[in-house]
Amino acid sequence: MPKLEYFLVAESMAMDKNRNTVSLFHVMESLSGGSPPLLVPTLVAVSCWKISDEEMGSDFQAALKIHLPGGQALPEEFEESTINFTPHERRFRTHHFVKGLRIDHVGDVKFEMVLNGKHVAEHVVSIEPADQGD
Amino acid sequence: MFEQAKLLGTTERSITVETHKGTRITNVIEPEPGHQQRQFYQALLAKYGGNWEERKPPTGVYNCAGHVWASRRTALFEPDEWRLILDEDGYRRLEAPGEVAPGDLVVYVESASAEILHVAQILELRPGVAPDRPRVAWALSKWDAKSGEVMHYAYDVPYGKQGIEFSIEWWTDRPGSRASNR
Amino acid sequence: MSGNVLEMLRSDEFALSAGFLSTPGPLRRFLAKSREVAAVRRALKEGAITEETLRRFVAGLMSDLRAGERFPHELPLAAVAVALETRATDFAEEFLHDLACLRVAEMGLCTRVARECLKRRTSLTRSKSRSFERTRLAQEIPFSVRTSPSNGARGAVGVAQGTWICGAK
Repeated sequence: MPKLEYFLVAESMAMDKNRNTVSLFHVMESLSGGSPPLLVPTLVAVSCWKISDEEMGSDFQAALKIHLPGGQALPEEFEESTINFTPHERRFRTHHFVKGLRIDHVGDVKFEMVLNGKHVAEHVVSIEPADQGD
Repeated sequence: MFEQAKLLGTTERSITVETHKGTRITNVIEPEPGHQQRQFYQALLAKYGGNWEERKPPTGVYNCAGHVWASRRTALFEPDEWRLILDEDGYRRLEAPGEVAPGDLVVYVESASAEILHVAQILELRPGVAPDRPRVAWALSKWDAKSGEVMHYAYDVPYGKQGIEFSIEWWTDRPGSRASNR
Repeated sequence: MSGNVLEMLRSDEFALSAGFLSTPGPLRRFLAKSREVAAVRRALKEGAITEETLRRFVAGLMSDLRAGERFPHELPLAAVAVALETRATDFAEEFLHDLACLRVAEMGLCTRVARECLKRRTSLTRSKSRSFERTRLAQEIPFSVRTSPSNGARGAVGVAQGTWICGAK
């Protein structure tokens, strides 16, 4: 299976096409402000996979699973957050853009990266009440 | 993109070319050069071939490897397969240019990649600059699949002028006194 | 300036410099080191030419393709392939794949160079993006969201605030 080099969730990203490099802006660690429900207008989950020679040309599916706090159900638009890819390169990036994620409870939002059905990594963003933080 | 080319479909034509051991060799019968390309060839001769002698005007069909190994019937384009031909057809590499004889091959190798740039056939050994100096190999080359055939001293090739570092290998099909195949 | 950079690929001077190189590997390496290909790469990087400019240039070259006749612009096309070899865009991918897939005797040389370029693109990182968006948006809720460092970490705090419309349920 491809090896995950990094998995991060950030507010936004930019890609320099001339240099083929990725920059992430405001990596999410915790969110605060107001009382729930909160809306995260946009976020991006970026994964970078290292592909071996034997894996090139094989099919893979990178699925982003979002686990919301307080047992909140995930809207159906985000249930099948999958990207299918067939790499012919030594590295492959997948970018899951999520827009309009509503969060109804404080607690941890867990972003899970699953490759071909197997858990690979997670990135946790804490939702904090308004009187905490700076 | 390239819709005009896609509309032509597959126009590549090849024949059966095999090594002595039966390995198929990739080949394509190349089209004839156009008028513009024939004219441009003269500019190339002027730039690189001041001391060359023309044997044949520009023609398609075959390239250097096709001239040497396919009797001018087709062009062979894979330098890895040229190495295979040298091996499977029983060629042996000569230790020194002094051992070269007419009918042997001169192989030009790009230093950066060890990939063969060109192969030519030795026609004769011409006198050196002085009677006591070594004789110099005189070769016949078909530079590419749209050039003519020219005769030249084996060291008189374009690559140095193009800034390409290369080395020369001498190969023969003549049996050796001891087995020294590559 | 942009026109010059591409027209240089069609020049006699450029063709003469390439000489009789006709095996794909050495020709690709020669082109990769040439100042003409470097100029095209630089022009693309700096925005002096766009991929649309390149597309039009290639279309112009291809209009000279005739069945049964050797294509007169193999070297410029091979040079464009080498210029795009390291470019991680859909256009570059399309160009190299489409050219490499051709089996047209009239333009065999540039096709073989494109295949060499593709072999080297395995070292490029590719990306694939997908957007997942909540579409059922009905009720406007004014609020703000602050991205803050985790406990103990210091640093700049980014703030995103405004009014968004989210779904009622």
